[in-house]
Amino acid sequence: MKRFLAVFLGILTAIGGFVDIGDLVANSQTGTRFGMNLAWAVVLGVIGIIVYAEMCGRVAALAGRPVFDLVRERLGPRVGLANLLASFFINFLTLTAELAGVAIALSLASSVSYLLLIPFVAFLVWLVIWRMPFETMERVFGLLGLCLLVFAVTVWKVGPDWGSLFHTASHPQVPGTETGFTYAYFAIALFGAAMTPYEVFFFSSGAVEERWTEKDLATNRANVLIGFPLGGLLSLAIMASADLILGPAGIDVGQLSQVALPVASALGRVGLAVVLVGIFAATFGAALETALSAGYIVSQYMGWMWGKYVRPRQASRFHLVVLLSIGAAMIFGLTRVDPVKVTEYSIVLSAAALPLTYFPILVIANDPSYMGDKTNGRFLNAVASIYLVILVVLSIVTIPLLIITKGGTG
Amino acid sequence: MTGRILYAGLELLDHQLRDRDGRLCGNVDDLEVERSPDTGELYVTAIVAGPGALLQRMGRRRLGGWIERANRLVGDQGRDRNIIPLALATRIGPNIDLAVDAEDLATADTERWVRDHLIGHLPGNRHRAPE
Repeated sequence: MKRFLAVFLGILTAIGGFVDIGDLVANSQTGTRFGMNLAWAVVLGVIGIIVYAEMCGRVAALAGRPVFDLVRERLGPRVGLANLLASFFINFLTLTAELAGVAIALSLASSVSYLLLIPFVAFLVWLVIWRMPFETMERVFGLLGLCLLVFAVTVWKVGPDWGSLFHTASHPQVPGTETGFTYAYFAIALFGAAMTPYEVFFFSSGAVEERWTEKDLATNRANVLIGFPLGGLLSLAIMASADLILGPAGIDVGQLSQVALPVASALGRVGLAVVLVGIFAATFGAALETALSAGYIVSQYMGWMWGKYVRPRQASRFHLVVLLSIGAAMIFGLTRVDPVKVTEYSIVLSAAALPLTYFPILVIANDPSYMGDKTNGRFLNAVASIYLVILVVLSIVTIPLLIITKGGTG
Repeated sequence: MTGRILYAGLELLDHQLRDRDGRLCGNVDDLEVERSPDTGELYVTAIVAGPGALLQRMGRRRLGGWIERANRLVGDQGRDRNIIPLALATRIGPNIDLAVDAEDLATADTERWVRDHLIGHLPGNRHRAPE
């Protein structure tokens, strides 16, 4: 049982990264517009995050250093600061969107305006961070997030032609109604959602919070090999259910409420209730992940005491950053910004900053003074280097693509 | 610890400092270096920690200077608590362990201020999550 519970850090990290509010909508949207023709982007992203999350978990276990420590150490204070500002900004946008996302999920269940619920949600997120033990937090929200598996049940219930679904996924092409640019844009959005930097900030800091040591290397491997593929599976199930049910009905997804439609139509009220719990947990989990990451990265750059494993008063600057981030995100959310647009942009923008986060992880994972004899093997380095090249290419093409496709609409 | 050869830029700068109880207490923001009169070689004599020192190292001399002076006004005038003699480092590795109490370093000043004026007033600030 203890081993089973030990993988929830990976599960919560993955759910918060793969199926937060922007991704829920982006996955449904991709399903209706591209069918399964973009499934490969999710798979590519899952492999990438497995490779890098395993490395940063291993560094955290062996050297006790979380990712943003490595960023400053290997890139120096200047480039480290540039990365800090970019990551903090992207993280803030995501946090804003998640607070609104949780509020929307609650308003779907209660028919209270979501704007009225935002301050309540913000308080709840802060309260969980302030009081709930780290491990309870990851188990509660990781477990509830598994309700999203109801999308997989939906696909199974519809009973699709598995052969043709798999054929489209394995022989991808650009549908006639779309351009190569929009195809590339959505591919980056899916890949970027899988590799969002706050996942490695949260995962590696979480490993330090849980006091991982060399004995936990197996736990690390189990976390990444169970958590991230599960996140990818959820992502693909949402895509497939939208492809099978919303696509033929001619519904183009633009809001969170539409994401639940396939489940409601295939499984009725019970399905709807389960999926709402799942959406609540996933967006709430992502809000926790981004709010904590804000505190983690600032504190780690500055060398401050951080974390939930000490009393709040012993890490007061860390808690202040978290509190101010949640407060500012709440205010920004109350201006009625569209949470879906905000996360979509933040994912694409984060693609531009990704190499600055992943490169230092790769360098340290090869440094024997940190890792002893547990440095990367050749094969792992080859795969990780290929991903680094992909990330650098993406960081260059992403923003032009964002402009050309007008955020995927054109 | 005398005479160990280190790539100071790689093995010291920007590393995490920990006090004698394992509390995180700043980064190596800068180093003090002296030239040995006999051999002419450079020796690292002290670690400098604090945002003022960091800004100066990053080329923001004036802003960094102001912060350092402000820090000195708050703290003990007599000595520079920003500067930690390298002899106090008990282990140099991914983390650098110091034989000091975090509260005695200049890097604890803002932590103390935030604790005494803000976080320390919130209910449950002494609460520790059970293991």
